[in-house]
Amino acid sequence: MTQETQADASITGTVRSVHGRGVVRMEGRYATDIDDLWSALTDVHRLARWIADVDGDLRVGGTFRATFTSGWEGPGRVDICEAPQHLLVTMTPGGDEETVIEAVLVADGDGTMLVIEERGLPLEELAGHGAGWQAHVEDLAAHVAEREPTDWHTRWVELTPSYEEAARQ
Amino acid sequence: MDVVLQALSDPSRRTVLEALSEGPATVGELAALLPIARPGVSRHLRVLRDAGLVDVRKDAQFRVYNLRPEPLVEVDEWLSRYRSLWESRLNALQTEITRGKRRSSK
Repeated sequence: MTQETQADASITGTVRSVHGRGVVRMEGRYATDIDDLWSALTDVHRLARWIADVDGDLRVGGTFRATFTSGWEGPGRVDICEAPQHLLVTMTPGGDEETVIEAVLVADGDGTMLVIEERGLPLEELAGHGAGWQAHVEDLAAHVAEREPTDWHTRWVELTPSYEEAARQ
Repeated sequence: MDVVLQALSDPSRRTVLEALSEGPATVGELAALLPIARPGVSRHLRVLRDAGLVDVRKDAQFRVYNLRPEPLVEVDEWLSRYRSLWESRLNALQTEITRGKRRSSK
């Protein structure tokens, strides 16, 4: 089950099922260097401007609480943090809703390739999470271009039908 | 009822309830109303949720909070026992004022 949803020329979102759980993957090229993109993904002041308010211990092994622009809120744990290319966090560690979010960055000329995956999602919510992540990474693209992010909810509603289609494949 | 009164005892939480009385809202929208950071708003929402005064609707990542007025019924019933006391005192005061006016107008 893999389907591409092309809403922005530089970002490709796919959803798939692995061992009965959902995986959302956002692959894209961002118009900034790898160190700047890494800081957008790890600096709490910058995270607050496009995806989430994060509060807690952000060292490897540390736990934090996050409140996303989507309204989702809960605990997380930093498992891998290798600047500037590899970040892996576990959300709601030990809980029923446990998922893993992984970001991999690769320098690409004057830009940076970024793959973000969230794994372990309930299959029945896969479309909602796919649309949600697409809205998040579009906000990231806006943030690194020094534009204001759009309203997450409006964009999520717009993107949901195409992800529902993708999740059915 | 203790847990409900406890939840109502904080001005930030009352602001949240007031906002939700006008319709559902996300934690981000509620945070915009309060002079505190979002993790603080989340803590207040947890207290309100534990007291049964708000519930959360979930749709994948999307979370929206709604007011649940049901626990306020118990508080209202408790207050209503005292309402009759102050109402009868206010009526007595009203009678006294009217009587005084009548006397002074003579």
